[in-house]
Amino acid sequence: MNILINITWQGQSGNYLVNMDQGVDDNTIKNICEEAVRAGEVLGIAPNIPKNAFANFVIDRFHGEQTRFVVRPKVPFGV
Amino acid sequence: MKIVFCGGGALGSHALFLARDLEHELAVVDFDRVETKNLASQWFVKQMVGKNKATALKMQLLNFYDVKLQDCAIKLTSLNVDTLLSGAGLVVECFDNAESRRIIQDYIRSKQKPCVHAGLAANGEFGVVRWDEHFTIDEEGSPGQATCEGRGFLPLILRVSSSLVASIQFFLADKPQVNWNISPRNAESF
Repeated sequence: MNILINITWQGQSGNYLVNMDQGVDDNTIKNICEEAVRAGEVLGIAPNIPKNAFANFVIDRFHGEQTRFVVRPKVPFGV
Repeated sequence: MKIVFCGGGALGSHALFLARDLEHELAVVDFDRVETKNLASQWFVKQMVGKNKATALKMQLLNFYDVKLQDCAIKLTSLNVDTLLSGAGLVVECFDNAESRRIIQDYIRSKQKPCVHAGLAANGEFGVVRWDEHFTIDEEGSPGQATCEGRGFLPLILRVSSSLVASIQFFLADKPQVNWNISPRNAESF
């Protein structure tokens, strides 16, 4: 199925549409994102990201009309 | 409806500033005190330094806008969470630590109360607004990790706070739940 992945990296963000199984594990998603960004396929994010850039990131999964994964840094701060 | 804000810091204080015209009962829970350094990133005036944050927000909303706010100047724990949140029709969670977030999430899920969360990443690079069913509690990083407490983060803090209040408005209007991804360059709702 087509899944929209929203990727954020150091204040930059972009969307990447990919066909894959929605049950794929987090590490595979992170690897797909890293490869897509490095290949310049994610508009809005400069391709020069380091190796394992998303290793400590979190994947949020939304299943609606359009399945969406959000690849984001941790958000521990509110106060 | 009573709307209880948990946390009156960067996100909570600005969200309350923006929520002041909601025609609902407002309350805030925060045990912390206003420090001088907070003036850079939180909605407090310098006369409030030293006061409890919940009490300071109550005074500011009353003095500036004649808006009433119930202040709960205590630390939310598993022992008092029912007392603090049982009357809430909506819980707005803006805490800065995983332990308090977990207490709230456990409580609102057991009571099936609606809850919306907001959080910021380190260095002001990203923020989220999430309804509880989609919210993942992120552990704090290592001690000394970069935060959003310094100068230069207000634009992002205000974007996250205003998106949070927009989600509250949609909820109050019985519209579908709205989640947000917010970066310094983009804000996207879905």
